[in-house]
Amino acid sequence: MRDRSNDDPIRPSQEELDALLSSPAIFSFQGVRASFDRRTTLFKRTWLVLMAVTILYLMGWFTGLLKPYMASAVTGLEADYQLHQVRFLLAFIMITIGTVALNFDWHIDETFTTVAWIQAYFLVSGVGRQWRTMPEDNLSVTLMYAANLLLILLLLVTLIIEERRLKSSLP
Amino acid sequence: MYKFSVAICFLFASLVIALFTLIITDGSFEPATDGGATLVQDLTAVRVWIVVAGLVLYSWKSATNQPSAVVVAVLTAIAWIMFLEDYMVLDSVLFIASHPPAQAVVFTRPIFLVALTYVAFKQWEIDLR
Repeated sequence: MRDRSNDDPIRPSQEELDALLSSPAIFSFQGVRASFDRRTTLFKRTWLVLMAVTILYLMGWFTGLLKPYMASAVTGLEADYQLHQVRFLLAFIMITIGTVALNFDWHIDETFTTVAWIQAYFLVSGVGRQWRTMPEDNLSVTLMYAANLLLILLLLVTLIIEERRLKSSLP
Repeated sequence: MYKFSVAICFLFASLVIALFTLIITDGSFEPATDGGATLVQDLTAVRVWIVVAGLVLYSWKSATNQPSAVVVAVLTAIAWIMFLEDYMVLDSVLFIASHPPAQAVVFTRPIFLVALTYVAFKQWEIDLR
């Protein structure tokens, strides 16, 4: 009996079907572990530290330990308090987007580059704001605030450098 | 459409620079609250430098035919974040929209955000070609 599968111009041949099914998907879920397996130890450790900082922040926020160190505690402006809340929400959304990018192994370099620039904006505008409004004896609060934001920025820059190193080492 | 959107972005950037120049030279810009006075100056100063840096970087990359999708994506994200901050928090502190240049900035801002987002997506498409 004659196989008519390749005679029909509309129906794809077996070779075409195999090629379609075997081609890697542009956007496929892989999981963080699978994504980490391809990356360096420094990348993994940096990501873990970033997660730890986020968790510690949440613990500090909900227990009230962070409140005396916030700008609003010194300036007394409601806008400072709300700005802090909005910025943390945005940072949390960015961490989520970064985790999704890692899960799908999709544009990780570009995602973290964008996140790092936003963090730089938070650092410059936040520290500038505190520098202008804080009383002299609260310099330590400003320095702690700047160090905290700078640590997160450095972690993000490390992730970007490691990702670029990985991309450049791939054939 | 792409060029039109880029033109809208440049127009908005010019308006922001003009507004900043007026804020630092003209004493008639008063924020809604006393506490907001330094906040207006600080935020406007930071933002105007971001606008200038963004314009210079985008123009340089376009002139030298370098890929600029990441630059535009970063600028788009920051523009949306500034908008959210203003809309959710700073609206009652900052706004000085009684002045014509400030009104023009407030009025064109949503159009600018849509145009910039369109440019960001289009730029990815152009760079990936």
